[in-house]
Amino acid sequence: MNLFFTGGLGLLLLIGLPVAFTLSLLAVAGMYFFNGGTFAFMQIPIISYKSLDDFSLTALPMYVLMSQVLVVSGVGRDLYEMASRWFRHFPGGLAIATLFCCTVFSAISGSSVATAVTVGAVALPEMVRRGYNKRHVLGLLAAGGTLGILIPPSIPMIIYGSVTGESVGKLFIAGIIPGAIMTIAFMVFSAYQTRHIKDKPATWSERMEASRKAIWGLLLPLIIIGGIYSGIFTPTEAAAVGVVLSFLIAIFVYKNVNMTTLREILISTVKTNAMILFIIIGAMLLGYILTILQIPQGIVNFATSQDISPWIIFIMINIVLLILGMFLETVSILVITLPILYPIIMALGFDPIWFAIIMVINMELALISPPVGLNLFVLKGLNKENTISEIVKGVIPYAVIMLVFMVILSFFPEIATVLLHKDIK
Amino acid sequence: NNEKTDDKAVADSGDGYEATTIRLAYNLPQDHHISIGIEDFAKKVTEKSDGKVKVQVFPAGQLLSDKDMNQSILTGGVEMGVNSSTLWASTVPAMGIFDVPYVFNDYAAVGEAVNGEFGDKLRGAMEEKGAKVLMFADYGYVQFANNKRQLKSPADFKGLKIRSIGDLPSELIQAYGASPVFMGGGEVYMALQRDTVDGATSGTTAMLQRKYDEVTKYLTINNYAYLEFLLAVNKDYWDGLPAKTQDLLTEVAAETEAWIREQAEKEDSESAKALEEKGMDVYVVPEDELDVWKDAAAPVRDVFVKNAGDLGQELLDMVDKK
Amino acid sequence: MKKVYNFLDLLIRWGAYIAGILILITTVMTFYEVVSRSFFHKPTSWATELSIYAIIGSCFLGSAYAVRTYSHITVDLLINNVNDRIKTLLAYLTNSLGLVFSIIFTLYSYLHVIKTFNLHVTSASLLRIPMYIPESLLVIGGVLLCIAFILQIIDGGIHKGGEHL
Ligand code: NA
Ligand code: NA
Repeated sequence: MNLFFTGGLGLLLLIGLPVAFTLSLLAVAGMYFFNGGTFAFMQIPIISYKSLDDFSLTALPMYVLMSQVLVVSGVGRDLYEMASRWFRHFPGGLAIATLFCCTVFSAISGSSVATAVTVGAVALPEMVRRGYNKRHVLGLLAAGGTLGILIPPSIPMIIYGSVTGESVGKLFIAGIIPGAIMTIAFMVFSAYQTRHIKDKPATWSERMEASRKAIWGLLLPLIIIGGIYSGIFTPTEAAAVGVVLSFLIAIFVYKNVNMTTLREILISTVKTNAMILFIIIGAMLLGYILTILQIPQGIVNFATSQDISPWIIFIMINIVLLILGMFLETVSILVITLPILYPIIMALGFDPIWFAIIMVINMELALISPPVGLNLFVLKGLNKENTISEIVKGVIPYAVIMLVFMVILSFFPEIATVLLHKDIK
Repeated sequence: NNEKTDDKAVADSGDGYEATTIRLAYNLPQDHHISIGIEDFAKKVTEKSDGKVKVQVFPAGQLLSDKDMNQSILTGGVEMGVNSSTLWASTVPAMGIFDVPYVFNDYAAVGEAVNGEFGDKLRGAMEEKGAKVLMFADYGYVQFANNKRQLKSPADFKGLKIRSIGDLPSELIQAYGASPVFMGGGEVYMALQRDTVDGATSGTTAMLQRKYDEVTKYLTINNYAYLEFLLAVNKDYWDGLPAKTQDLLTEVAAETEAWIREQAEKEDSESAKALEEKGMDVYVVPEDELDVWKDAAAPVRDVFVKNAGDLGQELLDMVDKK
Repeated sequence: MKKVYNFLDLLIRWGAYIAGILILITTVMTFYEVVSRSFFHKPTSWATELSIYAIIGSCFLGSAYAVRTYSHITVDLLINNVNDRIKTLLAYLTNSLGLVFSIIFTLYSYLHVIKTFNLHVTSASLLRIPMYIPESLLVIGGVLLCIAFILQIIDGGIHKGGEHL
């Protein structure tokens, strides 16, 4: 039976059936063969509906929509110009400026693509023009983009919360310090790597002018995070506030949203949204049939009954996640593995919020690991001349930084959880 | 491989029980007193039937959440499941009776009612839709917790934003002059902490477990509703069971039901005490003031009768007589 | 015949437009809830619930369009490394498998909606929405999915892979 599901999964994915339908069809086949034939099919609509019947999931399409609006408007360009004028005279100054933009963008959008696309589109040509090694720049952008899902808000964290029932708010807060540490580590490394390049400093009036223009891009994350912290809105509702603000900025400041661009924005949001939500449905259907056949319980029992250290199991889990991360994208990995991993983590006595952060860093690695790495494709898509192998070579040092940080975080879970224990009220 | 062992068991069902596997799902945390009772029920049934009637338990929302539980029971996706009367009320409106404010004043009264004519009416209404009620598992009374002020009378609710679930509790919050707020369960703790909402309503056991004491100041014990969970069986599946198995299940369920009821009373008082020890300001509404609270809640009764029709009115009359 | 094809294709595109509008409406409702609750102390009783229905709608009404535009993530390890003949074969195969799922999904969603209708199930909220209404979105989405896979099969041609997101 285990062979049926793992073999079926591999086969259907390989012949090119989309992930969502692979999961769904496998679940249907499992129901038919192992759970009473067509009688079990009555569960299909019940589970499908239930999968999406969750208010925190409504944040997902709204964050997708917001990042589309931001990509279309000129927010990214102005932010970069500002950062460049403030940082360019430092050794590796533009690398720092780029990461600064990645961070700001990450703090608005829940998505790595939005971050990599928006910042990449302005930073890549500019940095190469100023003499930065293209491989270094590509690696920096691919890695910087992944911050989008670690620094809150984060779509994978919303999904983690939705699948496991953990508070999305807590997950967001737990991502703050790891996100900051990772950003600083990336900045230090990239500045060191490109230390021989320095520009002449911008004048103060140039800096102020650029800052004035970029004010909207800077205000947006402040309003979103400030609003969540002060309790004016929940993390779920923050998405709606973000969409409204980014529309207002695009319409009144940048004046580049009209009916035609609006239609394009909506259509591409719909495609991404339907794709992600249908994967969730597929994974829930598969999760249902696997659970009723007691397969995850078997794995959990096996894992917890073995006389091996919880840390060994933890390391094995991470190895599996890294391997999956090479071939699948983040949403699929999360929804496929969480129903199995979450009970194991709980049974072993680990902190589920801390584990979420470990998992998100794993997902960051998945975004930049070949052959299927979203950020690699995004940067490849920016310019025909970029090659995947060039990007991969550039990103390797950052992957090492992520792995090292994951080890540190395993030894010091407080890095993620310390903010939760403080009464920030 | 389940089927194989089942076939074999049928062949040598020595002591008269026909072999069957009953899948039972529930959605409460595993250490909740209802969960402990249900797990014990499953174990006893299996033991007493010499392993012939296997009850395979899917705990803590592992298989089904409260949202898809009822439909899965009605379509036979699982044979048995535990879900709240509040959620059953969306299919069987009369089940809303447990959410009607102040219908039950003490634990013993509930036991008497659900095991008498009152319970029969509800069982009948459930069977019409396709579910057989095997057990009324008591969750206990629900209360209000908030951050603004102690609620010494219904008038103190005015202007508060209270997180609510279900329709009748929301009607009550409105009747008292507060506004119900709807949000996902995972967000409530933070919403209370950051004043997104002023308060929430829940049993004290759940408040303790979700650490409400860390984020809310005032606890008001007014016992406004008595939350009931139902262990329900798919009707067709039940009808297909041999009488002997039905008797066994009924008998063990009755034992468990009594045990859970005792626990509910104990847990309610212990958890309220624990919340007070952890620093919450606890106010117990004196019995002679309850009439004021009850009168202010009158609109909720009307809504219930409007939803549940004649059966609803009959049930109300029955509990009022007591 | 061509007319029918175009009409069905248009139907799927309209599904996507409605899905997009539903996402916009969700944004407006949620934003209204924030403003109304935080600044006027008047939380709504409908924003949360209707948002959930809208998002469910956005998924099911938009999914067919995602099939037509190759937006569903696909692992194209194999597809990228075989010749066009095999690619064409794989396209027929995967679209047929997709169609099989969609037919089962649509049929059982329909049966489920009928059952919900007969049982008079409502939402457990102040709105008491008859649940067969939001559940019907599954049937409509299912029909659109069936159409999308049929059109894909009619189109034939080589497997174009899909999104990687
Ligand atoms: Na982010
Ligand atoms: Na990857």
